Amino acid sequence: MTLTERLGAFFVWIVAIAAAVFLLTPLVVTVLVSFGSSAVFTLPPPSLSMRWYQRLMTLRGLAPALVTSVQIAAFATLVSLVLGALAAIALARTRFPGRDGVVAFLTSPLMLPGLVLGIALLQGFRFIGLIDVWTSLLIAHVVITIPYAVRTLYSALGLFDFTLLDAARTLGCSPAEAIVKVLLPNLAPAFITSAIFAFLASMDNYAVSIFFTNAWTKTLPIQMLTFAEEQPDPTIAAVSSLLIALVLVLLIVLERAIGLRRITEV
Amino acid sequence: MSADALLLDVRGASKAFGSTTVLAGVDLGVHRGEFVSLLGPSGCGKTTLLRIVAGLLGADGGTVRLDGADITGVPTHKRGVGVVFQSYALFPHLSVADNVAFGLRAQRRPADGIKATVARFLDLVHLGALADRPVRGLSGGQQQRVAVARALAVAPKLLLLDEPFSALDRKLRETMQIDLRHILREVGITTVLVTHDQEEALVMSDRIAVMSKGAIEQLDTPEGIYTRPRTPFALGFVGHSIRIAGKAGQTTDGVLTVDTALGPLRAKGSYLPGSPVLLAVRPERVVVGAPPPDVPSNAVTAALTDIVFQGSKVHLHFAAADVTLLVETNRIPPGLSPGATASLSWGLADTMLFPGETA
Ligand SMILES: Nc1ncnc2c1ncn2[C@@H]1O[C@H](COP(=O)(O)OP(=O)(O)OP(=O)(O)O)[C@@H](O)[C@H]1O
Ligand SMILES: [Mg+2]
Repeated sequence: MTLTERLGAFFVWIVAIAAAVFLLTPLVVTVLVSFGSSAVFTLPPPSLSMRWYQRLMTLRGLAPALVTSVQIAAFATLVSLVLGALAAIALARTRFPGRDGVVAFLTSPLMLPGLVLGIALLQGFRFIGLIDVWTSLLIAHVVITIPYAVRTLYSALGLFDFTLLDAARTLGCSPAEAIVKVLLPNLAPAFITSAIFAFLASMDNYAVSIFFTNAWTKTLPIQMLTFAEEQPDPTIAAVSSLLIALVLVLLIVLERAIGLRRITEV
Repeated sequence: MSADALLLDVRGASKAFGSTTVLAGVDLGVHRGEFVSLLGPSGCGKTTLLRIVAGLLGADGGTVRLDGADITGVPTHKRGVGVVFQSYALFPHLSVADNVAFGLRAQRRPADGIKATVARFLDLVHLGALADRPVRGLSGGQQQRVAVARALAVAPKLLLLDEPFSALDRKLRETMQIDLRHILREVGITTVLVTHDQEEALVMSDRIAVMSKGAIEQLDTPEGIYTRPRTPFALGFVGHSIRIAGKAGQTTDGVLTVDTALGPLRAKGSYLPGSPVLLAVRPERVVVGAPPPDVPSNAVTAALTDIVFQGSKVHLHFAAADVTLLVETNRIPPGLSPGATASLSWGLADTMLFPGETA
């Protein structure tokens, strides 16, 4: 290695470490505070305690919000995967003018600020007279999560060799069997990846959900903000720590199932 | 051979994509156990015909009969037609053995039989040692053999091969061609190969169907196509040739005199005087020097432009009046060097005659 190469490698490492510290510090602080005994956010915590986790059990409104969020996230993910897969197949298998435009449109909610999206959806729902909170939330979350499904499945289908389906048919599979035995196993990583990202995006969403919740139906992030306003103690940190744990578990599942390298590829 | 010995009988197959006609009523008959190649340039409709036979593509018209039964409307998975695709189309999520077992499992064969069959076909293609390997890391030649084993394992009535050697480098291609020919003979399966490589067709086939622009121009043995091409296209696509355009003159005793830029030449046949014709002769039928006096021959004078030594043979390039004449000999004729003129002659029996292009 020449001196410049060494300097370069050194510099890259410095930047990488700085970025990791910058990104991880808030998470570490949150977890530390959640296990502290102090009622205010003090670092380092005077002593360790589980009191904030115990308080979670007694906190009113938390369980319903969690249930709502998980339900919405699960349904939105399912709907997004089905619609996204159909859209991706159509986009990958046919050529028509404006195809790239459709791809851009379907993935655009990723790029739009949540507030813009929320206001637009709110106006749209008002216009068609949709007032049911749960339905509004679900539709809004499908809009938020569908880009993950379309983007991941579309690029996976772009790499899929459809001759494989022909090959399966010449070997005795009906067209439906060919899809089940060849297309699905080959797209499974893409389905798992998009499902996890869609689920997390929905669980985490605040900016769009705020327009569709009311006093009785709240998603978890919105309920958490309410707690933070009413009673700013480390209970919030405890909830956050649990969510961090959930993401970690999902990432480990992903890594085991298909390998992190392939997730970052798609 | 009688018509009922045909295993595959395609009649009048036609196909158009939009306004472009890709197949214009193709007939193709393949006998049981025979190896037939579809030989033609890129885009002439070979793959399209193959996909119609496999049922992967619906024809606009015509019928396909296999083993006596009309299968025109039968879906692919019930046809019993195996295919080795150009890209091999191996299943990337399965191992070598599971790829070969795929068809057997899809057809719900008994499990103990599957294991034995897979082992037998992997041995046949010399891949027994790689059974548990993923297909991703295999070389091109190995992938091709997995594809062949996978197609053969389900015991199809007919095997279709779409340019199975095009992904292999030249050296490997030649040994694989002979190898595959052996394997398929051993299995005794009727095979249709698609290729645009004449060498490949000549090496492997019992008969060759020369295709051009969605039609089969000639279906004959390799020797028949080489020595008796029926159209200028078949002449040009298989082997080298000398081509001399001219105008038909008088016919006497079944021999036509043709006026060409190289002087009057003769060929067996008969055309309306004045109509354009094309004369042709294979390079190895031409001798440098005067023709033997007792054999009816054609002779021209031409200038040597190039000598190309090719190991076992020598190509002499001659030119006369804008016509290039390629002559193939065993050795460089003594005393002949570029720039010299020589007399070239060939037998009347070796002179091929085709209708010419109307200018
Ligand atoms: N699905 C399709 N839609 C439109 N045109 C097509 C389609 N499939 C094939 N063609 C056209 O039909 C013609 C014949 O195609 P085909 O694949 O049969 O040629 P081929 O003889 O196999 O050529 P190659 O040697 O390049 O594989 C080509 O001009 C091709 O562009
Ligand atoms: Mg082709």
